[in-house]
Amino acid sequence: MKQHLITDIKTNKNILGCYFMTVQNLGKFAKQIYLKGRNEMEKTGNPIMKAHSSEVEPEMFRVLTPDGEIIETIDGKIDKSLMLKMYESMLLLRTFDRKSINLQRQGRIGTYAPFEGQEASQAGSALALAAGDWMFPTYRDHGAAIIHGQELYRVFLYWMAHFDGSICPEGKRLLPPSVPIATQMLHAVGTAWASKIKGEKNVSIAYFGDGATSEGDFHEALNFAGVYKTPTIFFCQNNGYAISVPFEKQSASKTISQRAAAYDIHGVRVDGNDIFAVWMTVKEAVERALKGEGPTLIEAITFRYGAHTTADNPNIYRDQDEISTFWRENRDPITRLRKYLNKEGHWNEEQEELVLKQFNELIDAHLKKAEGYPKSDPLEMFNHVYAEESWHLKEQKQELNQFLKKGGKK
Amino acid sequence: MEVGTTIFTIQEENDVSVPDTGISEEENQVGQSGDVKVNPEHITTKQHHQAVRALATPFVRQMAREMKIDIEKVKGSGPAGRITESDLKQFKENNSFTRENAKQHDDKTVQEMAPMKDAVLAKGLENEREERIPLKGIRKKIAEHMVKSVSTIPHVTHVDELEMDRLKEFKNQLKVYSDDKDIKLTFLPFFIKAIVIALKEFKTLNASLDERTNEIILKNYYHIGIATNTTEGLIVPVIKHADQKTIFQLADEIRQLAAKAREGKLSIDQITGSTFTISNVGPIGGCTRPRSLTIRKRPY
Amino acid sequence: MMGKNLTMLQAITEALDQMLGNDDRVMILGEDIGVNGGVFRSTEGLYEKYGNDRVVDTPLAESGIIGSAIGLALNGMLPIVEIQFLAFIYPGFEQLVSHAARMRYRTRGQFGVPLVIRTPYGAGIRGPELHSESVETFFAHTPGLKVVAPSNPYDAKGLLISALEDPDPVIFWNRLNCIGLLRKKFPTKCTEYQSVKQKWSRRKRSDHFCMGAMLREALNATKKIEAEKGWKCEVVDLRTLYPLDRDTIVQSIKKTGRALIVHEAHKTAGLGAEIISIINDEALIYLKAPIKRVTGFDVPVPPFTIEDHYLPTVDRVKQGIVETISF
Repeated sequence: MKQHLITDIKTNKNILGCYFMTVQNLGKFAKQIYLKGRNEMEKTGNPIMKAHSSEVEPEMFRVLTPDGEIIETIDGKIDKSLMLKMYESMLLLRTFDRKSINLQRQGRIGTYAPFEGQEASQAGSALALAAGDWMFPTYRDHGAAIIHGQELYRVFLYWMAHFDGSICPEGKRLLPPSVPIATQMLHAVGTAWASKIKGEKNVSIAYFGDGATSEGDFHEALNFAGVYKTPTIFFCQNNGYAISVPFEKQSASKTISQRAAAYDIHGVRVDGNDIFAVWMTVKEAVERALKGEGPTLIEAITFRYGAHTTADNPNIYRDQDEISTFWRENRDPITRLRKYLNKEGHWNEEQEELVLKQFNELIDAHLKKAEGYPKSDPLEMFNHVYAEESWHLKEQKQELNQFLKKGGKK
Repeated sequence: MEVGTTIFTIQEENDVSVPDTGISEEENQVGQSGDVKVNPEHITTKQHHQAVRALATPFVRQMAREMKIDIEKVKGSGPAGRITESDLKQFKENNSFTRENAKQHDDKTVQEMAPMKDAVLAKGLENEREERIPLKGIRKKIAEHMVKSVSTIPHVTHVDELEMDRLKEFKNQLKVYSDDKDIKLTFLPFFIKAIVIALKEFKTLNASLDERTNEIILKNYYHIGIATNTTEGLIVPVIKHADQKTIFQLADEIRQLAAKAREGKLSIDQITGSTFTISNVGPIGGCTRPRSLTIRKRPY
Repeated sequence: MMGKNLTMLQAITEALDQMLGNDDRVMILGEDIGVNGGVFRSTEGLYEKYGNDRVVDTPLAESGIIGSAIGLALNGMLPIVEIQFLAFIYPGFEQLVSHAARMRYRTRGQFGVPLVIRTPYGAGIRGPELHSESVETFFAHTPGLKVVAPSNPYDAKGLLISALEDPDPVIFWNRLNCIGLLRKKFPTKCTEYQSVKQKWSRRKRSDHFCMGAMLREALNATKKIEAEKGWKCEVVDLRTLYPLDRDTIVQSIKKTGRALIVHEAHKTAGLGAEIISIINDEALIYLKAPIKRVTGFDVPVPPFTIEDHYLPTVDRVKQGIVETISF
C-alpha cells in the first residue's frame, strides 16, 4: 500500500505527499494533505514541517524561516559574533561529516553514523551550554560533542575503533556515545541530580532520537527528572526515522514534546533546522534548570539527509532522493542562515571559501593525527576493567603477553 | 548368513591353520612357549588386561609418581578396580620383596625378555609383568578393522557339532597317497570342499552386499579365505577357484600360502578377493568363537 | 570489640547508618526505603535521621533507579541502591551491564561508577513468585562488576562498607532467610572492617565451598557428619563471588583433596562450575575424588510449598559429603 501511495503521489507530482504518507493514508487522503500543505506553503512560504507524523503540522518554535527571515526577536540574545560562530560551527560539522563518509568508503574508518542535515540541532544546542555542563551524546551526536569540546581526531579515533576515541578532553564532562538507546537519559538525570545536591551551576543534556522515545528508559528518565526537578535537558532530534521505522509507527502521539505534559515537566517543540530557535530554546531550558525549575524536554524537528549508518541503505525504506532533495532545498539549516547572513551583510563568498579551506585543513590535520596515533596495544584491553587490576585479569594479560612474545598471532 | 560367518569349527591338534585374531592370541603364544617362536620385538605379555589404563584419581597418580611406582602395574582394590592410596603402599611393600628375588630368576626368561629386561627388573615384579608395544601397522589395521566390522555389521553366530569319525577314516585312507606326493593332509581341504558344495546350493552365503545400490551380489566363483596367524597378526590368504581344485591341490596350496604368510611374502592378489572365509581354532582347543565379518570397500 | 548482638539486618542498617553519617556523598535510593524503612526494614530510622535527600524513595522503576544512580556516581556521589528482591533487578540489568560495568573501561579510567547495588536473594522465606531467585552468575559473568555475598552479620557489615569504598560497581547480596542471623560480640566501628575486601572467612575444617547463606546448611551438615562418622570438614565461605578468591580455594583443595560445592543457584553454568574449573587449572593433581555440586536444580524456583526440595538442604549436603569422601 505504501508503494502504491508513492506512485499515486508521484503521478500527482506531489513532493510533499511522501512526508504525509502513513500506512493508513490512502491516496485520496494523501492528496488532500498535500493540497493542504501546498496551500500553506504558498500562503506562508513555509512548507509544513511534516517529515514525520500526523497530517496537521503541530506548532513549533521558529525564529529563522527557511527563506532567511527573522520572525521572532533575537535582540539581546543572539549577536553577530554568535551568529557567525553558529554558522561556522555548522559548516565545520558538515565538512567533517562528509569527510567521514568518504573515509569510511575508503576503508580508513569503520562503520560511521552520519548526521548531515542535523547540524543546527547539534551545534545550536551545544553552543547554548556552558563549558562545565554534562553532555550525554549518542553515536550520531559527535557534532554536538565536537562543539562542546571534543577534539576531531578523537572522533576519528572512535570510528576507527580505537580505545582513546572515547576519551574527552581533560576536565570536560563529555561522556562517550551511548549505544543502547535512551539509556544515557537516566545518566543525565543522575549527574544533574548530583549537581543540584552539590549546588553546582551546571546542567546535564542528553541527546536522543525519536526512536528512543519508545524505550522505557525515556519515560523513566522524564519521570525521575520530574520528581527530583533535576537540571536536565532532554534533547530529542526527531529526524522522522528510527533507522527505517517512521515516527508514526513509533507512537500514536502527535508530538514528542507533548509527552512532557504527562510528567508535568516543560516541553518544547522547535524547528531543529533553525539554529536560532534551537539555541534559544536550549538556552532558556538551561536558565530554567539553573533557577531550579527542573528539566525540559525539547523536540527538535530535523532530518538526516543520509543513511542511518554507512552500513544502511535508506532506499529500502523511504524515497531517499526525493525526501532528501526536499529537505536540502527547502529546509537546510546552513542555507537558511547563510541567506540571512548574506542579507545582513555579515557573510560573503570569499569568507565562505576561506573558512571552508581552513576547515578542510583542520580536519586533515586531525585525520593525520588520528591515523598516526599509536595503535592500540592488544594488552591495553585488560586495562581499566577495574580501578585496581584483579588477579584473573593480571594472569590473562600475562597469558596473552606470553603468547604474543612467542610470536603468536591473532 | 553373510560372508565370513562361522558355520563350524575344526578341532585337531596339528592342523596347518592357526588361530586368527589380532590381540588376544599373543597371550596364548607366550603361554605355549617352545613350539611358537616368539619374536622379542613383538612380544606382548598382558598379564592383566581388564583395563586399558589404570584407574586412579589425579591425587593417587601423583602419589605414584612421587613413589616412583608405575601405576599401570598396580592392582586396584577400590570400586571398579580403582587404585587407592593403600594399594600403592601395599605395592611398595611387595615390590621391595620381589626385588630381592629377582636376581635368582630364570636366565632364559630374562634373555627372552632382553629388550625390556631392565625395565622389567626395575619394576621388579615377575608376577605383574607387562610391557608396552605401540599399536601400529598391520596390527593396528586389524584392530580397527575388527572394531569397525563388529560395530557396523550385524553378526550372527551359529554353533553346531558334527560326527567326524568317517571323515577321519577317509583321511587316513588318503594318507597313503598324500605321503606319496609329500603332502601333509589335514582336515582343512575337506572342509573347503564341503563348503564349496554347500555354497553352490546356498548361493546367498557366497555373496556380498553392495550398500551403494542396495543389491546383494551372488558369486558363482569360490575363493576361500584361510585365516592364518602370523607374527604380524591375522592374514587371510585366499585360495582362488577352490571348487576347481582337488583335495591334494588344496592341501598343497594351503601349505604354500601359510608358509608365505609367515614369511610375509604374500602378494596383494593372494590376500584379496575371498568370497568366504574359514578360520580354525583347532590347534588351541575349544569349540567355537564368535567371528567378525569383512567389510569391503567395494563389492568384488 | 563491643559485646553487641546484631542480626544480619541490623548489621546492614548499622553499616548504612555509619556510612551516611561519615560521608555526605553517600545516599540511598530504592523503593519503599524511606518512610517505610524498606520492605525488609533494612533502612529503618535512616529516613528520619538523614532526610528525604539522603534516603530517597524513588519511583517504582529499577532501570530508572540504577540509571540515575550511575549518573549520581559519575558526578561524585556515592549511591547505594536497594533493589527489593533480586528478580526485580532485571529491568535495570541493561544499566548495570551496559553502563555501570563498562563506564570506566570505555572512558579509559576517566569516569568511574562507584555504585553499590544491594539486594536480597534466595528462597526459603515462603515468598511469592520471583521473590526467591539466586542468579549471581549473570553478574559474575560481567567484567567490570564485583559481586559479594556475605553469610553472616559481621561479614555483611564489613563487605557493605568495603563495597561502598570500592571505586567500581559492586553488587551486594544478602540472603533473605538470613536476615535474622545473630552474631555476638559485634564491633561497632566501620574501621574494624577494612580488611575484608575480597577475602573469605574460613573455618578450620575440611573440604567444602559454599556461598552466602548456604554456609548455614554447610555448617549444619558438616557438624552432623562429624558427629555421625567422625569426618572433619573444612568449610570455605565464598564471600566474594566475582572476582573469586582463587588462592583460598586452591589452598583448601591442596589440604583436603576433595571438594563439595554448595550453592542455591541453578546448577548448569552456576558459579560452582567456575570453581571446579579453577581447581582443575590449579590443583588437579591433588584431587582424590570428583568434585560434587549440591545446588538448586535447573528449574525456575518452584512455588514455596515445594521450594525446600529445590534448595540444597542439610541432608542433601550431608549426602554430598558422604559421596565425596567415600569415593
